[in-house]
Amino acid sequence: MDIQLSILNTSDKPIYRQLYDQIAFSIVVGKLRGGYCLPPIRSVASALGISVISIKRAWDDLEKDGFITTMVGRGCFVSDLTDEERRQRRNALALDELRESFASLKQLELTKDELISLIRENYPL
Amino acid sequence: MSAVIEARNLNKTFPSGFRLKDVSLSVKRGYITGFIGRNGAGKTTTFKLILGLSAPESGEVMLFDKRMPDHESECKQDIGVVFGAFGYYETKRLKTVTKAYKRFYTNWDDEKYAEYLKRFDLDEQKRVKELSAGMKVKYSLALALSHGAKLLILDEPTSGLDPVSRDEIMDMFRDFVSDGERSILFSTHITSDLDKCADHIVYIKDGEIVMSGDREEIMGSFLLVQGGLDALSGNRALSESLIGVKETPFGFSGLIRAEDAHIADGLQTAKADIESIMIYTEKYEHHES
Repeated sequence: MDIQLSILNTSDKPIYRQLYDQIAFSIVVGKLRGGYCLPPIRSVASALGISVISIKRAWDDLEKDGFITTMVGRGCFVSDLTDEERRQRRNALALDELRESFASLKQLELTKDELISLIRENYPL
Repeated sequence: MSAVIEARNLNKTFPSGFRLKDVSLSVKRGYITGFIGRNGAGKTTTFKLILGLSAPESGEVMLFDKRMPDHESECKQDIGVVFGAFGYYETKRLKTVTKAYKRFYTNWDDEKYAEYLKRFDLDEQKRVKELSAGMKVKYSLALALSHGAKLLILDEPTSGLDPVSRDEIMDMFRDFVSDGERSILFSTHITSDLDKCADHIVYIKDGEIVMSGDREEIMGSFLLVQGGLDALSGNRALSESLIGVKETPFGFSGLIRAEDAHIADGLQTAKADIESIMIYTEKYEHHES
C-alpha cells in the first residue's frame, strides 16, 4: 500500500509531527513495509502546500527513531523492522498519545483503576 | 437582543454585472460582528448600501431601529465610519483635517480626541502623507471614536497593519463594546483578528450571504477530516458529505458538517477555524460527480 499524508492546519500537532505520526503509524501496523521508498521531499511540499523544512524535520525524526534509512543519492526507505521492533515502537507511539491526555485526566482526579475500567467499557477495539 | 443594524434583502446590480443578492445582515447591540469574504465578494458594497452611500434596488436598512434614508443625518451622528486607510487631504496637517471633520458632529469631544491621540501616539502637527498605513488607520479611528459614536462601521481597518498594531486595534474594539451598548461591524480577511474579538460572523460570497451567526457556533458546526485516498474512494457517504476537499497524490483533507462526524469515524479530525471554512468552501469547493 502507498503512503498517506495530509495536513490539518488546526490540529494541535505541529505539521512535522502530523507527518511523522502518519508515516510511523503506517509502519508499526505493517501498512508500509520495509524497503518502501518515501516520495521526494520537494514533491510532498508542493502537493501538500507546506514548507520543505517541515518535511525535512519529519524525515529526520523518523530516521533518528529508526523508522526510515536515508541512502545518499537514492532516497529515504522504510527500515526493515522485526515484529518485536515494530511492537515496541507501536507501544511507544501509543504512550505518546495517551500522555497527551494525562494532564487533564489528572485534573479530573481519575484513579488508575477508574481510567482502566473506563477504557475497558468504551474503547472501540 | 436588539439590533443596531438590520439590513433586509438588499439587492443591487452593477454595470459590471456584479450583483448583491438578497443580502440580509444584522448587528446586535453590544457585540462585535466580523464581516468576511474574499476581495470583490461585496463587503464594501454592502457597507455603502447600509450607510446610504449607494441606493439598493430593493430591500431596506434600519439603523438604531430607524428606517434609512429617512433618518440619515440623525443616525450618522451616532456612527463612526472608517473606510480603508485615510487618504484625503494628503498634504494637510492632522490638526487641520480634524478641525474640518469635527464641525459635522454635535457630540464632538475634544478631551476624548486628545486622549486617543496620546493613546495612538499620533502627532497632530504631522501631515496625512507622512503617516504610515497603521497610523492612518489609528487616526481614522481616533476621529471616529471622538464624536460619541454608538456604532463603528469599519471596512478592513486592519489590512496593512503589523501584528502588534492589529492586536492594539482589537484591544480597542473589545474595550469599545465593553459597556454592552456600543457595537462594531468590521470587515476583514485577516481571520486571526476575528478569533481575537468577533462575537458574530457574517460571510459573504459572490454577493450572497452564505453564513451568519455566532462565531463559535459556526466554527463548531464544521469539522476538518483527513485520510488516505482509499478512505475517500471507499466511503461514498463521506465523499457525498464533503463540502470542500483537497486531494493530493498522498491523501485528502476536507471539510464536513459536524453533524456528519459519524461518517468520518476512524479518520483523523480536527476542529475547523474560520480560515479553513473559507478556504474549503471557496478554493476546494466539492462538486459531487
